[in-house]
Amino acid sequence: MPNLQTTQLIKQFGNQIVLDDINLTLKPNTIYGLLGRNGVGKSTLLSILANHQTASLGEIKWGDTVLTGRDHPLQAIYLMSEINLFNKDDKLKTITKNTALLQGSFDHELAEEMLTAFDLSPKKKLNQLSTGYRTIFKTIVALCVPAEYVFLDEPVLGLDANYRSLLYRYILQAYESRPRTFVVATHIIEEIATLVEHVLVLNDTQLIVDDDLENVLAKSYRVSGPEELVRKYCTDLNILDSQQMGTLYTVYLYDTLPTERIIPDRLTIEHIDLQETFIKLTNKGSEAHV
Amino acid sequence: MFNAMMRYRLTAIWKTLAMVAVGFFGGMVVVALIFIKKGIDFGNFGLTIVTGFLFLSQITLIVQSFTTTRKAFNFAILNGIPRKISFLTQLVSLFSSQLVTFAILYPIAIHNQIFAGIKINLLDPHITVAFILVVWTFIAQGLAISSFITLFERKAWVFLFAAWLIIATVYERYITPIITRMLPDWTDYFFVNFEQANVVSAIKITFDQPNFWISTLTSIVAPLIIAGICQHFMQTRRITFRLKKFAR
Amino acid sequence: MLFEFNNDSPLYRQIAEQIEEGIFTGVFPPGSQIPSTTEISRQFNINPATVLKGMNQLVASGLIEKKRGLGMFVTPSAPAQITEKRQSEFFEHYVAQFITEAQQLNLSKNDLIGLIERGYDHA
Repeated sequence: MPNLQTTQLIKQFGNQIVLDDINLTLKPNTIYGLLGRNGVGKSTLLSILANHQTASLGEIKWGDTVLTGRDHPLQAIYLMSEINLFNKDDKLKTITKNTALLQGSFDHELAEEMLTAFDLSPKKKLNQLSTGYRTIFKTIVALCVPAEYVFLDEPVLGLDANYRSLLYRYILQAYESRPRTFVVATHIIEEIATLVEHVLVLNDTQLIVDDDLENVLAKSYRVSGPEELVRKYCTDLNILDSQQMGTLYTVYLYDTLPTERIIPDRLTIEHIDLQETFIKLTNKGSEAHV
Repeated sequence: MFNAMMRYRLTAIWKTLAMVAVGFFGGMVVVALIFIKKGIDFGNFGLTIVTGFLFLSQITLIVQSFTTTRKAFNFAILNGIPRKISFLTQLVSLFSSQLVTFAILYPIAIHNQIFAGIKINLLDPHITVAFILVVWTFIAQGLAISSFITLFERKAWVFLFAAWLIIATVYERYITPIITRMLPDWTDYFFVNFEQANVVSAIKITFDQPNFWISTLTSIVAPLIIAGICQHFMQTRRITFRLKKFAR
Repeated sequence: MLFEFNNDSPLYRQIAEQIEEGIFTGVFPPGSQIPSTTEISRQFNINPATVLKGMNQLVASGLIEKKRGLGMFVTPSAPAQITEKRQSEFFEHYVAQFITEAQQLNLSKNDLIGLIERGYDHA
């Protein structure tokens, strides 16, 4: 199964550059988390990769083949997003039937199981469902198509906690029964942290993080203690943010700790979780550079 | 992929035709029941239904040329169907459905007494081809317009209107006279007084002129080219129409 | 099975450590089968690759072994291995810190010895 790669990808809407020089390689059978603040361009990036939109500049490669122009007929890539590309007047079972027809194959068993699990009747029409249920249905379809690269753009948007948990379970189940690549774009970072293997962070037109989850977490630190000690220890390290609370000074780092530097006793160094790392990396005005 | 997409489109088209048929026939049955006391000739009534449905089906297909663009494109793109195949199947499904409905309904409809006054052979290839070409022209227009609208956001529709005016003027100038030469008056079809011998020879003469074929094909082919180009650039999100010079 | 995860170390390592703890405390006796990668993955919504990495770490240290077609089993020597490892780590993890803490509280060596004896009397 080939990689899906973009080189120097740029997307512009009129004057505004949304994606600037994105170089990304997606590998098969990996679960990716695509993180970024609202409006940063996650959906646009996925849209371009799935041929729903075209890039302004740049190259997309499927293995060694360059996908030219506007017609890369790749059923190997499937994007589920907020934009509704289904016929709203159709019944759910009609949509799955038509999807199966165009895709050539479809996991009807899984679809049936998931529809029941989420309390969805296949006889209902799409426009009879609330936004949350529509998202669930679109995700169900995405998990049942034979695509090798499945992009889920906010699959848990508007879902209650129970359904979110159930959906993650099904994503893992689908991944285990037939390994493929999932790229999950989401704002609920805490919940996605255990699911993903590789993290992508989009911020301010650029891909600022493209690394294994382990590595990202290994570099995320919170250093706190007396100010001069903290400052001295963190010299020349990549500081994302700092806070002062009385005499307690806290600094957030995204860097490897220098092994030769001794950690003073009065300094506390802890790791922070993915969500906090993300917030520190993407806050406006943070001196974030990666 | 082509076959799957064709099956998808044909199913959609014929489902709509079937619904229109059921609605129409249902309505006609009601009419029949109302007039049953006055006594109706069921044979003629049947033929009237067929004639009505002939026109209704052609209109339905023309409407479909508008409505099948956006939705089918979206679904095709979602499922990795190339834009070329999406467009090709749209053409083939619409035009072939037109031929099929015409081939079935027209030969029956012409036995209707409405046409009794017309002594020319309505099955004359020149007349049938003319009928088909006219419907095809409308379908082509529908495809072009709906493709343009689907491609660009609403601001661009001003340009559409301008283009439409230009095309309409050209059509008016060059194509209408040809059609007028073919038949003295469209409405005369339904009247008994008819220079029938002249009509056929008029059509025959028109068909012999290369100009006619050029303009006819242009009025069908040109919109299809426009539609094809639009669909080539089509995306799931409408394109903002901005002249590059003014962009900076 | 109860897993609790924190930010201190990579998830796969925490999984390995907690299974190791289960072996040590007898929750998973020698020769018994431990939960499969799939089971752990599903129950805690964790990427199977991560779970597998943790398992592989345990296999590498000889604490568990893979039996073809059956699953992962605790090796007979596992508890002994863990005990040995923890004994050698005992000084690092507990004693050194204990002494540092005691020094901060101005407790002398003799004070510490007295405390240890008291601890044993009560144990």
